Order: sequence, then C-alpha cells, then structure tokens
Amino acid sequence: MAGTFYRLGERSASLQASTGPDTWLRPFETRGSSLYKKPDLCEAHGLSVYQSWEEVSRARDIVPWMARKSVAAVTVTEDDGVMRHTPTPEGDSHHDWWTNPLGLIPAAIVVEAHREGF
Amino acid sequence: MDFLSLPLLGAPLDHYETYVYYDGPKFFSMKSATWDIYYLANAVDENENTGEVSYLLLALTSKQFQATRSGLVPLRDAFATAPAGSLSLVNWNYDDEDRVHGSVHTYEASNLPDAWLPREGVTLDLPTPTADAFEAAEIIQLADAQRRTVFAVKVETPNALVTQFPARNAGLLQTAIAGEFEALAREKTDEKSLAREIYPVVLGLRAASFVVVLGVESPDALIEPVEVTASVFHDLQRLLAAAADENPEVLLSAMRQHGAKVRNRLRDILEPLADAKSGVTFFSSVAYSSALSQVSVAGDDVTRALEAIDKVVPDLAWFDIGRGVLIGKNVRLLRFEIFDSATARKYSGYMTEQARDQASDIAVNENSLVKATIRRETPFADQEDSVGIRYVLESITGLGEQATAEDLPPR
Repeated sequence: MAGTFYRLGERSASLQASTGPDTWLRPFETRGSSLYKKPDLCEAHGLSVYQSWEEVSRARDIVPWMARKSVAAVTVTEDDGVMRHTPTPEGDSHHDWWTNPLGLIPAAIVVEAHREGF
Repeated sequence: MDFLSLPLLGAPLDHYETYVYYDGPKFFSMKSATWDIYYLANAVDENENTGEVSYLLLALTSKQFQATRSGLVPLRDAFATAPAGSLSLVNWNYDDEDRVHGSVHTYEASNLPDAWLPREGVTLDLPTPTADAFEAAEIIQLADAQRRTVFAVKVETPNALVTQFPARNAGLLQTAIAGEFEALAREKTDEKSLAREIYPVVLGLRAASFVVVLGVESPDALIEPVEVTASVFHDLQRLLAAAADENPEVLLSAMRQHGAKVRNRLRDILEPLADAKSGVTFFSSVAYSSALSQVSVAGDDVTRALEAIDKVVPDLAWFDIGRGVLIGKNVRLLRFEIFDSATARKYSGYMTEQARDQASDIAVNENSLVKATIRRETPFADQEDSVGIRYVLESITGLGEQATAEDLPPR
C-alpha cells in the first residue's frame, strides 16, 4: 500500500525537521516496547504507522507518552516493503510496516512538534 | 515488560484488549483471572536517556470498566478521580545486563501531573454490553426448566454504547405485547376468563443491544394451556413475519384474519420500535416443546409496516340518527357522545368543525333531543367486528322537543 503515513518522531525534533535514526528503531530495538529484545518475532520488526492524521492525533489525546513525541509524515511506495493493516479499536488506520530493505531509514519530515506541557 | 505478572490486586491477570498500539500496546486493559477487577494501562512518560517507559495502571470494577469503555466516563476523569489505592505507577527499568524489571508504586490521583492525563473530554466510545449476553438456547432451557412458555424480545438502540433502550418505548412495547397476547388468546378460546388468566411476565434483561426475557404466567391453571399459548405465539410470529415482508399487502392480509384488537395491538408493538428506530427479533419456546422459534423484523421493515397500516383507507359509510340525545360533548377536544333513541345505541367519537359549531349551542342534558349525521370509518372493512370502528359526527341539529323516558338511555 502506498501513500502518506504518520509515525512518531523524536521528542526534541522541531517542525519541518528531518527525523533521526531513533524514529526508525524497530520494536525489538526499543526499550519502551514490549517487543524489545525479541528479534525472533515477526511483529518486532514491523514499524507502527497511521494512515489517518485524525487517528494519530486522537491516539495522542489518549496516550500521554505519544503526546510527548513529535509526529513525522513519510511517503511510502509499493517498493518500500510490506504494509499490513493492523487496526485497533482506537486506530482503524494503524498499519505495521516491514520495510524493504529491512533496516531502511526512510526520509520523513516532522509535521507536528511534541505537544506543549507533555 | 510482563504486565500480567505484576504484583497487583487480582493477579494473575489476562490481557483483555489493546486500544492504542504503537510498536507494542500503549493503552490497553487487563482482567483479573479470579476477581472482578480490570486494569487500564496507559503509557505516560519516558526517560529520554534510558528509553524506559512509565505506565499508569487504573484498577476498576467491571461496572466502572464498562462505564469507561463505553464512553460514559471520560478517560481523563477516570484517572484523575481514581479512588485512593486504585492507581499505580509502573516503572520499567533495565539493569546492567539489559534485563527489564517492573516496579509498582501506588499513586494518589491528586498528585497526577497534567502531562500524564488524557486530553479533556476524550472517551473510548466502544459498544459495551452491560448485561449478561443473550443466548437463544437459554429460552429453551428456561421453558424446559420452568415448564412454561418463555419468549424473548430483542430490540436495537442505534448509537447506544451500553445495554439500554428508551424506558418509554420499552414500557409501550411490553404493554403492547401483553395486549397482543391477550387479544390473540381471546381469539383462541371461548373461555374469556382464561384469556385473562394467562399473561406474560418479565423474567430478565440481557444484552446486546437489549433483550427482554418473558415467560407466560398462568397462576390459576395446574399446567399452562399450551393449546392456547402455542396458537398465540404461532399467530404472533406469523404477523411479525408478515411485517417483515416487503410487500405490505402480505401484512394487511395477515391482519385481516384477526379482529381489531389484535390489529391494534400489533400496531402498538410496531410504533415504539419505529420511534426508537429499532428492529425486533422475537424468540419463543412453547412449554414442553423443547423447540425454539424465531422471527425478525428489521428496523426499515418496522417503519414500512407501520406506514402500510396507517395508509389503510377506511371504508366510509354515513347514517342518520333521526331522534337522539346529546349526552356528552367537548367542544375543545371535538368529542361527542350521542344516544340513538330509536336503536338504543350510543355512539361516541370526534366531531367535524362544522358539527362543533352546531353543537356549541345545544345543551348536554335530557332535553337536548337532536338529529344527526354520523360518518362511520372502518379501517379493515372486511371485518365484521365493531371494535376499531371510528365515528365522526358531521352535523347535528336540535329538535326543539322535550325528550320522553323512551328517548333516554336506560338508567
């Protein structure tokens, strides 16, 4: 599936800045993830992205940890890997993205900084 | 990060649902395997240097959880007003060997920083049954166990996220069902008292969206007269199935096979459903049958059936009363009551505006001898019974005579 998706960026990233490598750490590389140090699991390599801006905003309304991050927009093409639709009750547009190549660090631009007060 | 094994009240816990997922569950719920305790877990903070994430855990009873899950309680309020002892902070820390350890600390809601709370007014809004789930097999089990006919009426409440149905509509619907039951029973038996002695009773409420379970009560009978109840439910289901038919004539034809009371009560069943934009599914298990019958009428079909009934053009007929007594009138509400001295019958109904103007000068007493023209409206003209016929007073004129004893209704 191709198009624009949204992924949380570094807290310190400012508007219109490019995301850094920390944004693209896979779940098995991320301490805050329940999949940390579980590289054998397929889902531990999938990057969470939202297709809907409204939904990523709503998720940040609910989860303070997400509100304290920035949000980056990334354009994904069919050649960039496999995108699986993995909706949740509060995120119908949530997808897991297995990049091609596996360790791809895509170019993405911060479209919203971390929320004030978070 | 093994939340399920944390030393929490009600542990061990089972994962229940994930609401927000981002490289792993970030807002989710857990349920105690043994106690009536749910936990909402929300990621609230992160140590920028170590990447360690903190979660707030909120303990809830099932009732509180349902209220929060359905959106009746905003998420921020659920956390910010958590009673003492129900809120915990879980820090996930990593040791020198990069192994994770969770530490749990109770937390006072009053000490919560604003940055750890969901945004004001945000709710989950997930459909959440707040009553035990309905299973059709239960109807047979109840009927067998209680040795009586048991039935259930399932309705829908659009946009309702918990188990509910407008009380007014629920009341009207149950009254109409009881009325229809009696009306059909009266058609099935010559014993009028029997029709009064068997009646539906409410046995319980189930989800979802809203299911009323009813049984047939027959306190004066040793055993339920199933020849009556079986026939009643057969006809009621046939009427409802006809209401679901897209050809309105099927319904009208089925209704014409019954008297006006049955027809009127059927309309009374459909009206609160249409008002609540609900369809209906009717389950029944006649006593001693161990069998389940089921019929459904979708919401759109309910509306169409009601419109078809209301569109039935009444058969019109006019008749004159040459000598009668005006024994009642309400000019404001356009109501009248006339005693026909020739046939010794009373007629009551509505007045036209012309008749109202004429009647306004006629006193209501024994001396008000009148002549009148009345219109009779029969909605289902091929029926012979008189119930459901509507009378409309079209004109009335005083005779200027003193009524005799023969002119008046018997005392």
